[in-house]
Amino acid sequence: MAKKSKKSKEMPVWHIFRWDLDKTYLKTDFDSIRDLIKTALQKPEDKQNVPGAVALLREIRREQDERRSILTFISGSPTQMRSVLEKKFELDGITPDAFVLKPTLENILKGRFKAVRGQVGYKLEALLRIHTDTPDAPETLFGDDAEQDAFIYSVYADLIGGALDLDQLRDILVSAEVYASTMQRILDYAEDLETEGHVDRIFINLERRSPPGKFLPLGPRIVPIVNYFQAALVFYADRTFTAENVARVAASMIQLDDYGLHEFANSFQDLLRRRVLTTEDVLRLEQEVGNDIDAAAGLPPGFATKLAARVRALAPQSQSPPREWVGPPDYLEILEADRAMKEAVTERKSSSGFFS
Amino acid sequence: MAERPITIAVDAMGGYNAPNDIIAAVAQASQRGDENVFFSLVGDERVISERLYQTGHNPERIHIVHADSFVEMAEPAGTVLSRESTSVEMTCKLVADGYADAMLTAGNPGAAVLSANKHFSLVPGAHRAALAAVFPTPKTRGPQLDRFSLLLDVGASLRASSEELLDFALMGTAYARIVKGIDEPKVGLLSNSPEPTLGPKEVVGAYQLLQDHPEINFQGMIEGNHIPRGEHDVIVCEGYVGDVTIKLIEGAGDAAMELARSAYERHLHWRLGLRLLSSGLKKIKTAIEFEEYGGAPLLGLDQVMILAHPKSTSRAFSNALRLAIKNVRAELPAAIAGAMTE
Repeated sequence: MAKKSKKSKEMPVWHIFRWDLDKTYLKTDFDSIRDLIKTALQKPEDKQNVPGAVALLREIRREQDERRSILTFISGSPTQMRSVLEKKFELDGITPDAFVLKPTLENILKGRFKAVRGQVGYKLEALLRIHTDTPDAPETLFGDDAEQDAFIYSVYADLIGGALDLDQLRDILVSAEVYASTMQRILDYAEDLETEGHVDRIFINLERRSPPGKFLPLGPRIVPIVNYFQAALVFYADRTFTAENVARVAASMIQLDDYGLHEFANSFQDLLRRRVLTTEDVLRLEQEVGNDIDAAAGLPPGFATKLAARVRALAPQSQSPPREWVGPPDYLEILEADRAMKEAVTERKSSSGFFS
Repeated sequence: MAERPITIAVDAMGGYNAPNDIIAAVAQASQRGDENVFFSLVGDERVISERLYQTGHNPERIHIVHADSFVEMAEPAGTVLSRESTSVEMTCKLVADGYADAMLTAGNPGAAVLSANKHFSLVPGAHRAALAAVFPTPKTRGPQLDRFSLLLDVGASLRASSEELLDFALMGTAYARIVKGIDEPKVGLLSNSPEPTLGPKEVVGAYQLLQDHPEINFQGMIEGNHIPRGEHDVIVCEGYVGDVTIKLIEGAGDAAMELARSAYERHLHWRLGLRLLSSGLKKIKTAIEFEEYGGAPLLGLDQVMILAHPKSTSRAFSNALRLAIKNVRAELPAAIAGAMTE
C-alpha cells in the first residue's frame, strides 16, 4: 500500500476517522453462503462502493490548516482478503493509516467458533489497540446496521471518554460472550488508556433500513444515515465541512450513483425532521451555495440553488419537541433486548394453511 | 434506461387504519421496486415523523407535507370545501401544482371526489368522472391472464345520463387496453333485463349509443347474475348501482369464507376435509379479497387519482400504491383523453 510521506506523517492531526468496511465502505452481501463465496472471489475492480463513500473519504482526507486527518479501517473480513482489499483502496485513491482484518482462519483452527461470527470482542480489541498508536484528536466512527457496530462503537466511545469503568466493561464483555483471552486483552488496553479521548459522532449507514429510532437507546452521538450526502451535511452543520466539500460529495453521487434532486432534498428533510440539522444550517448553506460552487464542485449548473430552494420548501412546519435521552446507555439491557429479539425471530413460524 | 422520476402523493390520514397502515405501506414501498418512484406523505407532520422514526424506510424516497387537519370518515363530504388545508385536499393540490404525479387516499370517498373536482379537470370529451373497481372472476383475460373484471362507475356520482354511460364505457375500454393489455375489451351494460328496450330510460338510451360506437366491443345488456361469471371485461352502470354491486361482491366473498369457518368448527370430518383444502381455500381467499387489488382509479380526470378501500390495511394500500405507479407510468389520463376524442 502507498505510504504517506514523512512530512505528512509529522503534521498535527485535526481529526481521526475510523471506518468499518463491508456495508459501510463496500457494498457487500454476506447474508448467504453463496454471497460469501461470491464476495471472496470478487476482483478488486468488481467490488462496488457504498454511494458517496469514496467522495466523502476524499473530503475528510483533505488537509485543514496544515493539519492532517487519520483514517483507519477495521473490517470483519478475513485476513486472506488483505491484498484484494488493499488493491481496491488503491483503485479508489484511498490510503488508510491502519487497516485491520479479522483472523478468521486462526479462530477456526483454534475452535473459537463464536469468535468467527461475533464482532464485539474482535472490534473492540482492534479499536483499543490502534487507539494507543494514534495521537490525541477528536474521533468520528463509521459503521452500519448489519452487525453490532453501533453498540461496539458506543462502548469504545464511552471507554476512551472515561464514562465506563473496568468492572462495567467486564460485565458487558461477559454478557456479549467474548472469549476470556480476548476479554483480558481488552481489559488490559482499557486499563492502559492514558488520556481521555473524544468521539464526536458515530455514523451508522442504514444498509438494512433499520428504523432510525432503534439506535436512540445508545444516545444522540449515534447518527443513522442512509447515504454519505447526509454525513457530509452533518459535517457541514458541525462546521467540519464547507459548502464546497458538501457539493463535491453530491457531485460525485450524481455522476457515479444516479442521485438527483429528489434524493438529496428528501435526505436533507429527513435530517431536519430528526433534528440532526436545524433550519439555520439550511439558511447558511443557502447563502453559501451558488453557481460558483456548482462549477467548482462539478455539479450541474444551478443545481445547488435548486436544491436549497426545494429543501426550504420542504422544511418541517410542525415538529415534535426534541427527543429526550437519559444516558448513559444501559449496555447490558441493550444486549439482552437484542438477544431476545433474535430468539423471537428464530421462533416465529408463519402459518401455512387457511385454517392453521 | 432509467424511467423518469415520479411522485405519488399519499393522504396519510385517510381511512380507518390511518395513519399507521398507510405509513407502513409507504415505508415498505420506499425500500423496494422502482428507485425512481418517490412518495409525499401528507398529514400531521409530527405523527408521520414519529411513525417513520420507528419504522424501517428509505428517507431518500419519502418526504412529508404537513396538513393541519383531515376529514373524518363519518364527516359530511362537503366539509372538505369549507375547511382549509385538509390532508385530502393538500394531496390533490400537490398533484394539481405539479409536485406529484398521482394522488392516493383511503379516506372519506365523498371528500376525495369533491377535492378532485376542485383541483383537477375532466379530460376533453368527458362529461363526468367514474370510479372504476375491479372484482375477481373465474375467467382469465389479456396477456397477463388477469382474473379481474372492471366495473364502473362505483360511486363517483349517483346517477348518469346515457351519454355519461357511453363515456364510462369508453374510459373502461381505454383502461382495460392500457393497464390490462386487452386488445378488444368486451363491454356489458348492467340492467334489470337482457332486453335492450327494457330498463331505465338512461340505460336504454345508452344501449343505442354503445351499439353504434365503433370503438366499443359492446356485448349488450347484462343482468346481475352475469357479473361474477367474468364474461365481460368491462361492466358499465351508474354510480349508485355500481356502489351497491361492488359491496355485494365483497360481502359475498366474506360470507363464503365465514361459512367455511363455521363448517370447520362443527364436525370432525368436515374439519379434516377443509384442512385438506386449506391451501386451495387460501388461494381463493387471496383472489377475492379487496386487499389484493387495493384501489379504484377515478377515470376521466386529467390526473391519476386512486381511491383505496377505507378499510385498507398496509397490504391493501401497498397494492393501491402499485396501481397508482402503474397508472402514472402508463400515462393513463392522456390515454383516456385520446380515447374520448377519437
